[in-house]
Amino acid sequence: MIRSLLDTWWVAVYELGEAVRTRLFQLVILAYLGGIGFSVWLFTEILSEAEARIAETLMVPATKTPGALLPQLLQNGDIRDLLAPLVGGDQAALALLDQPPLGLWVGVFSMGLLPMVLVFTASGTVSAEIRSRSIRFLLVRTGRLEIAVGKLVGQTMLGLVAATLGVGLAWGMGMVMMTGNDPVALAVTLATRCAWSCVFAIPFVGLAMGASLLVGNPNGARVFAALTFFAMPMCGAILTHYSGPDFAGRLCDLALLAIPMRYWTEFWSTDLTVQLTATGRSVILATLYFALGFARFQRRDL
Amino acid sequence: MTDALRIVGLEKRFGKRKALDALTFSVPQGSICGLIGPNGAGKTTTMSIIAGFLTADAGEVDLLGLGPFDPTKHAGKVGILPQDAELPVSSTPRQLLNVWGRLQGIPGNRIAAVVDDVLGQVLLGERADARIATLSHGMRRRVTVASALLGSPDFVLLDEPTSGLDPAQARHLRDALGSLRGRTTVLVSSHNLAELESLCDRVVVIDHGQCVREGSMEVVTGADREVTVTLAAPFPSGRGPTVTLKLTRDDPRSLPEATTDLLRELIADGARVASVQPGSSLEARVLADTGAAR
Repeated sequence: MIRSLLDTWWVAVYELGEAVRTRLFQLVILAYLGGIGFSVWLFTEILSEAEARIAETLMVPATKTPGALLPQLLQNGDIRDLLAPLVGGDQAALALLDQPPLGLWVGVFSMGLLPMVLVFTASGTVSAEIRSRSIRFLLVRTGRLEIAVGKLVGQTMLGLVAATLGVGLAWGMGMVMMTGNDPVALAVTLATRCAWSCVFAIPFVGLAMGASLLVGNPNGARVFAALTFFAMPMCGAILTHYSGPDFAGRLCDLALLAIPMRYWTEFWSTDLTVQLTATGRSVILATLYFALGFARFQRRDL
Repeated sequence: MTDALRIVGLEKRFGKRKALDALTFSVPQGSICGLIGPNGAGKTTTMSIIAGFLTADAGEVDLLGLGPFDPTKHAGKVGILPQDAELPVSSTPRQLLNVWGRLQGIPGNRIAAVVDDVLGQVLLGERADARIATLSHGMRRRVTVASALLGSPDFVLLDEPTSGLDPAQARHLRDALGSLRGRTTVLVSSHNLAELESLCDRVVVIDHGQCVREGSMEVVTGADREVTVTLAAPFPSGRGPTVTLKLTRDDPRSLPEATTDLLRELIADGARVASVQPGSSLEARVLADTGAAR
């Protein structure tokens, strides 16, 4: 058991080390950081616009750096209105607004972007090694389960690396482009929100790894994972439409449990029990998707 | 002598094609055994089944007395050089060997020394910290050989180990493999029969997925019972350019005695001896067993 855990850890370290040195990951991480940077810029633009409007109403000169009138915007509900549709309604937004709004805003973008990044990187990982047969160097040293789980853990760690870099970038940009941000509170909110976005992304890593274990061709695995990823919200909408008390409706309800996007709002709850339940669901969904791919990987000729 | 590898009735199909057909052979412990056969004979399939990359449709494999390859039992005891596996290009040889060594159970306090040692064996010490992407084909091949020899395993499987190496590197590798004789069992597959003849003490010839000849190099090449004497012109009357002596089972003489008798007879006839070659070349034997190139 200990040997198995150690092997899994070394495969994860190998996966992380190998992935961060690849050009593909560097490009994908740049795209993620670009998205986070864009979210900070967009927030400051929206804030500037809203503050200019308030300044005009109060007949005071507009501020050069956004953030000075943030307390007024929080008071009159503008920020709440901005966040409410993204975090599950007015009540959820209100409960969150004792935290720096920039941190919450970046958290929304991180939850949207990180799963996409990880679906892209994780879906190629095992399939590329099957194609190049470099997986054989691992197969002679450890079991298939240790390899697959190690790579899953490695990809999740990649998500943490990406999220950590995103926190750093968003914090730096927030401190430079805005005024009135409490550096510690902003750092804590960004770190917390990005950590939850990593947890939210776990089922998507499981999905991408499942595709990678199932399809031996890296491009095929990427296409399969991407199609599944983008089809999920549509399937969710269709299943929600047909859900109901009859048998077919109950089946739809059951199928809805497998759509990770459905649990988005639970990660914005301020109730730790709800968040931990959502975490448990994330892990179960990741295991389910992963196991579907692993069943094939376990038996296939490599 | 116990067998390090025993294969009985191995079968493998790829679609309708039968790649292995009741393949049976064994490799004694401590020997260096060549696995020989024409293209498509089933060498790589055999190697892949022994290594656990492929599953056999039927038959038995017993590796080091521990049953078929299982990484939980064999990790660290078996080193494998897969024929066409590409190395991950972003890492350096040292980084890869470090992780692989950890996975095969080499303790953390020994790993650096073990990696340095194996990199030295394949003459890669100076490029140990260069990215694989910057290494030549031959250097990459040496990294894969290093991965097979890492941690001094009890059994080493090498599929075309000198492919892509220059003559000096190939010779160095042959010497390194030769030094394993008696300590490590080596099963090596190669098309370079002269190389195998100088390296191996045992051969298994397979064709159409079946073992067509198996035994010590001496027996397979006939070096234990056959001598070919080449004469220089002009030849004595009734003699051609070569004279072959084949010792029969009921001949009480040893091969050296019979050879000496033959040479005396030839010299008495006035022949001039150009060379004396024990047995046939491995190439001639294999071609005789498997037919000309398909």
